[in-house]
Amino acid sequence: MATEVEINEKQQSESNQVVDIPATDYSIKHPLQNSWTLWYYENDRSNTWEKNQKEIASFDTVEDFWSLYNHIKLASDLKQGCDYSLFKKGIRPMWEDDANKHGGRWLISLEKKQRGNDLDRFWLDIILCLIGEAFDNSDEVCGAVVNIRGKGDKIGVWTSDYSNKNAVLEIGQKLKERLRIPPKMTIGYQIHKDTMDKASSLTKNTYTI
Amino acid sequence: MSGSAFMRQLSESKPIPNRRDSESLDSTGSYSTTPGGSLYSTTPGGSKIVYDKSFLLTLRNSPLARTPPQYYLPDNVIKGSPHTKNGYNKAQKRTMFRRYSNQNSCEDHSEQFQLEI
Repeated sequence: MATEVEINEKQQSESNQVVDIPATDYSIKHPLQNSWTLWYYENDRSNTWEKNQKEIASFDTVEDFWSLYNHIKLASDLKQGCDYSLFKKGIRPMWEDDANKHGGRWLISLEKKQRGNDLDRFWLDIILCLIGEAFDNSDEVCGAVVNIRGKGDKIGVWTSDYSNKNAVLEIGQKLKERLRIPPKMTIGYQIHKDTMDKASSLTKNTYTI
Repeated sequence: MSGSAFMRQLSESKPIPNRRDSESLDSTGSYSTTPGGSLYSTTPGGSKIVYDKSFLLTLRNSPLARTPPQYYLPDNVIKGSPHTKNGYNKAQKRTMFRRYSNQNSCEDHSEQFQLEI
């Protein structure tokens, strides 16, 4: 009859054999710091703007993000007038949300020809910055929006407090680096309240980088 | 007695060297590397899960990442689908078509909800 010691040894040797984990274990889902929600906006005139914002899906792992991203249209394939928004779960992609009402956005206005080259790359790079928590002040980040528009597409990165200058500037600087925007090209930060009051093309930049 | 103890010992479960989704969320605070190398890092306070771009991209084509979502997606955002007016998915459209097709011999139901492109 086997003694307890022998049994333990047997178990030990068996477990030694199964401990051999492959170099990259693709069966593990990698958790994100935050849960994120993707929203889709479609311009249906029979509905209110708010009703046209549709929650598509939420995810909190890298794999669930890719599963979604790999199976939806690129931003450049959306119809004119549509938006994608990616926000921390619980924050709605609108100025009125508590998390946004004292906030603003870094705005990247693209030329028409950039839809073919830069738009999808910028949008994915921004998403990866968000979910990978690339910003030192990532707590200040609420989300990002891409607008597909005939007169020129726009991407905005929304932060929660325009008065937190250091955080806003750090986020803007990191954005420029990650998107490889040339130093001589400036991007501006606009306070949502200012955008609400004026036509967006006239909104003043509170900060520029 | 000793026999049944022996059986119990043999049939006891062993820890499988793999983390499941449910527990990985709780046990991530102290992890900084995986057996394969860098997985993600945490901030000095140890509380923030940070992934760099290249690591995120390496997971883009993993089997889990290639698995289509199991939840409903509006038609208009599904890759490769034509733009439709109201964004019903294919199953919903088929159901509608079945109702509709009792009086209608049109076979190509996907056209019925299509908006001008």
